[in-house]
Amino acid sequence: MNKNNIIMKKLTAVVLFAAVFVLTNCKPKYDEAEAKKIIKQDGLSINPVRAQMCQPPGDLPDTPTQTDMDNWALQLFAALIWPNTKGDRGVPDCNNAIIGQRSDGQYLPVVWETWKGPNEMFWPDGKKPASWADNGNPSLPPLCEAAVQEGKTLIYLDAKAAGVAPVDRYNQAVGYSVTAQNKTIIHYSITFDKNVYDYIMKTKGWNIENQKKMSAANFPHGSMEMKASWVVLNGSSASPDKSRFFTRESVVYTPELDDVPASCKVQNLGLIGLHFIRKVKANGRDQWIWATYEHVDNVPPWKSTTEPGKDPNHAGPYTLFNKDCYTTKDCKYNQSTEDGRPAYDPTEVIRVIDIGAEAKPLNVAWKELMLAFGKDNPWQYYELVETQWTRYIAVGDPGTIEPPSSANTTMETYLKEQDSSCVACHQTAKTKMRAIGADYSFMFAQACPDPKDFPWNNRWPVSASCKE
Amino acid sequence: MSILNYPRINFSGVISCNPCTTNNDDVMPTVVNRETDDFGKDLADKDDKEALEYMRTTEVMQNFDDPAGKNDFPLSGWNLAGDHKTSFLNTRITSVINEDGSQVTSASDDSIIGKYFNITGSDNPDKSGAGSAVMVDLDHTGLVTTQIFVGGIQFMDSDGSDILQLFHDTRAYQNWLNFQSTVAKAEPNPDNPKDPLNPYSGEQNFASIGCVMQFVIPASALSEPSSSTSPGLKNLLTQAKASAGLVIRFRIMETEPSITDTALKEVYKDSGQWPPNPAYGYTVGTIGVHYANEPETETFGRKLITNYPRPYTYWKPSDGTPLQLTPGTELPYAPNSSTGAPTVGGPAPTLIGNAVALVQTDNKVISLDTVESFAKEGFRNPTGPSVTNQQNNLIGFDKKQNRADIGALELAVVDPDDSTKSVSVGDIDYGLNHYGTYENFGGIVDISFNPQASGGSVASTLLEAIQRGNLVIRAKQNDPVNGYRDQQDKPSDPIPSVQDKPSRPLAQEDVIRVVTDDRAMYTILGQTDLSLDVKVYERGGPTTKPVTLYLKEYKNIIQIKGDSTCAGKINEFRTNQTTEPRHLGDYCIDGGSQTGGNVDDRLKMDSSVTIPAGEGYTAPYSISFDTAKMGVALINIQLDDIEQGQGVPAWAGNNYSSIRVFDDKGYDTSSIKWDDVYAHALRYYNILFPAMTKIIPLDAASSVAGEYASSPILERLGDPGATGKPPKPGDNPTDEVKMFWSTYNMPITRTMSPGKVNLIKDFIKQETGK
Repeated sequence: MNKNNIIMKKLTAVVLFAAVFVLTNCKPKYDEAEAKKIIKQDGLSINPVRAQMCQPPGDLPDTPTQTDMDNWALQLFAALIWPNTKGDRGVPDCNNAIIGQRSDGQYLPVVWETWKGPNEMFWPDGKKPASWADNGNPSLPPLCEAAVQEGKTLIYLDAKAAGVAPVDRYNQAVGYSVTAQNKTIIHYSITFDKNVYDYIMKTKGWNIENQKKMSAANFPHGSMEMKASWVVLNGSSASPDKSRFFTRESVVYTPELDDVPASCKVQNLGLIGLHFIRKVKANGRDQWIWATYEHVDNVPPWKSTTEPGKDPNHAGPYTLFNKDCYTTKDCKYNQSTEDGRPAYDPTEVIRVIDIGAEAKPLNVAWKELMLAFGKDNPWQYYELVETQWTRYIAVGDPGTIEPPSSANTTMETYLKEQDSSCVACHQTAKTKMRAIGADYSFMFAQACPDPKDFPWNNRWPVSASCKE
Repeated sequence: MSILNYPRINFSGVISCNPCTTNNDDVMPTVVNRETDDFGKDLADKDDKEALEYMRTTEVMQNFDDPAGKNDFPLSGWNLAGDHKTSFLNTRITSVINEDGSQVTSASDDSIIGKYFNITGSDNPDKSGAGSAVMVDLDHTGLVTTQIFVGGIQFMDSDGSDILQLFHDTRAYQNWLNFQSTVAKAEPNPDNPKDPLNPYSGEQNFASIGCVMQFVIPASALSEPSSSTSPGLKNLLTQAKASAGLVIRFRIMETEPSITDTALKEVYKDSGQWPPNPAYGYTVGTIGVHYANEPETETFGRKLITNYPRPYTYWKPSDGTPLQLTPGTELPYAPNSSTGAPTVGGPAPTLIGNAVALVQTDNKVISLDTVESFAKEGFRNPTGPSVTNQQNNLIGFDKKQNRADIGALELAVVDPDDSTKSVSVGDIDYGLNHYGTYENFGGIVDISFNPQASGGSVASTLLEAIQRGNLVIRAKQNDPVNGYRDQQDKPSDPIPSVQDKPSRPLAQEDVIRVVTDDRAMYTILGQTDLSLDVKVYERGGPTTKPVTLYLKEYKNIIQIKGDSTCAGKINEFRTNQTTEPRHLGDYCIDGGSQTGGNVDDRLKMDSSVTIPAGEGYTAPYSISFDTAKMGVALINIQLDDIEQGQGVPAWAGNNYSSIRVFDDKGYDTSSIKWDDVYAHALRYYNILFPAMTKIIPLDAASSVAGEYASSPILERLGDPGATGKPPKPGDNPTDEVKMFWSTYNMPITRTMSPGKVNLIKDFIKQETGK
């Protein structure tokens, strides 16, 4: 019996099982024993007991394999997409299922969504941030104020790359925005956990003046940061099928691009990519581990010439790729605006680095596991792309990045295969004034946003500590 | 006085070297046209993708005319994605030699024994920890003046924590290259049946290569250890502070890339994979006291080199196989030169590498540095169980280690006026019976002697004989391995059954020794009155008569296919990569001859200089020169006027200095376009140094001049200055000049002209205001 048949049998069993459960209990309930049977054979080492699944993984072996790393990354994924405990930021509600919906149809906030964002940590006036529990949105485009006051989540402030103009808030880490097939701009958000928050508070590195007094940066064991990419589900014919996405209704600020005026609207966003980094002990020493994930419908498989819909694991249509590029359309792949693509023309994205060989079988098992939470569970449509770490083979070794290259098609779209390395890029991270290395984190560099990046900040007094 | 003096600390372990080998091709005219400082004809018309694919294609390796492609290898060399990091792995202190010469080898007697030792990068300006030392080739051979930019050293405890970390930006250079650092019993080799030595062939022809490197940490950079109570370390530091500093000398040997040639070719066919391919090998070294006015980059003392004509040298395989006496089948051997002169390419090296002797009269000891002198039998197990590399392959180091048996050897003195007169000084224990004798003591052999003993036919006392005679390493008389056979002039000569005269020297003293610490210099076209500083010694002391040095410039013409029909072709290079191998030697340019002389010199300097007697001993003797043309020049400082042809005329016995002359061209920076920045300054690195672009993608304006990337770039774009050399104490250099000589400089290869550096800086300023 081939593997597909085995999977189909398992899927059938899960679906039947779920159906029986619905009929008998009216409320879907996750069966840990069944999940355990499902994932056992596929090399996935996640403990399907919910109390275990909802916790981020700890240290890794002294001589880890890539499979160890990838299992760790999927465990981390499970823990961080877990519904959060109401009113307690960053704490999973382990009694809940991995996916939960409120009565208004919105998914429950997950753990990483409740973490702090740079906008809460680094105020234009350099003032001390609020406590971990308190919210704060100090810097709002006037266009968005009304919507935010209604309590909607604001995405625009969390974009990773600060640049020279507001448009760069939609740019990727190394520049340029990406446009989906439905002609909307991809948005990004960043959050970090309480370890990172506590460390910035401890160092008082929330403004430039304080950062100057720092002699080194060394985030504590267990620290985590996150970056997410989102597509606007605008309901157009080219818009992805929202039932396959983890979604969030948010206030979306879009700058003026190609003469299209800036706007701030409440939009339904679909999650298409995630980066998680966590500092743990691996290979005998504390190090950051980079894990990156994507929605399966983003782009075709690496070097695929299979039309969307014919690949059982990648149903399509693709969010960032037009299937006509395989046939009738003359497409330029991974073309940035600098290369001449109009900002609202879709970016035809192809994957230049394959998903890790070790991750692929685990992704199959992951999907099976997610089905145990219900056939409509959108997390089944996400997969691990790669886990990147540093191998130290002996005392004295400066370390080698493994695997040497990795890329998320939604966040490192324009990098070539040899260009892309999370660890190598983050090695350059420094504090805002570049006085010291920032322990691979670009978070300190978010201090005191440049006024020209945020023209609406005029109403905020920029402190002396932020004027350099 | 020298590293050979007491006290010293010895270490051994593994070394990892990860240079980007594509960098070496920047002197291949078809890849980089140094006349215009732009891409050569093979790359000029290719787009980035095509150029990268070109670098991954294979070609036939030098000296392996193998149309079947069995010996082909990637055009980019063995390490397209290397980042240049170089460090010691699991390298531990093996022994302490006290001031009185007593040896300590147990941690219970000195806690530093067994602790880790490493070379590091520069003191990081952002205090986030030392980076890594970096290996960079300057010269166009990629061989004779390989540099390691070192930022410091560290002693570490068993958990990797620092015992002592010292910072000082300096460089070590490859010295005494020896292609016979390992030998193996001959076995049928279908690829190369004529190979007389035929050791384990290794990957990329790495096997058997060994070299020595040395650098100094000055007294001003020394500090106390933070946690160690080691008396040996404290005593060494005390003596070093009272002198000129610490000197660190180590051998690199049995290095080999971690991916096999076959696997690498397959990997490179797949454009989605770009794994680094660091080479790993053994290291054996010594830390000693550096004394004022001694060379920093070579062991001070009386140097012994393989002599010309070279004697046949035999070794006895350890498997007990009787030596085959039939001429031509007794392997290996080092063939004699019919003329004795090192002609083009020179005769094949013998089994014996360089050695240096220091006469410690007060201690009645001659300390002989044999770290690079004698071969080991058999290459390390390439796949043996040891540690795993980044590809999860085993890096094997578990093969039983033993020296190649070249018989019983002795140090002797030969009368300088009559080579038939000689006297023995003492036996040389080179570790034949116990490999640890070599490995645990830095390859230094301390030979006791009685100064008042008879000087035989050379002098009245042994001390006088040592002082006036020439030191030699030779087989002991009647030794069955080399005691008889060295009487041959060629393999077909009869071997005498009784040795009735002393053995022929296997290595003999280079009575006049030339040393330069200016092994690699960087300057800018148009600079004048630069200096190449040399020191000259006669039997380790000041010269007693004038010494004439001949200065030969070898141009960047490596790897150009030359043949007799090349007249009229400029920089012609292999029209067929599968049948025309890379070539180290002849070249073809401007329709001229194939043996040099008509490539414009990069430098203007006298063809010879005569150094008055006694000068160049304490203070260096400066040879002045001017720049004439951009590019790379390799200067061979010779004691004779023999034209040695092109390529690398000789390995161990010569003294080289390589000099990169940067273009002085400036760029219009009034309104800079990204396309120009990329084309002129960054594309070269994006293609030939892809490891850099992993950190900061070099082909995107938003990356180079972006919020995050621009700052690291601005910080690391160093300035070579114009003197050719690092700043001296009291020079008060700019931060940009200091950066250039640190391990953090960008590009690591130090091939970017100042004009291009300024172009990038001005572009970032234009875009960001920084």
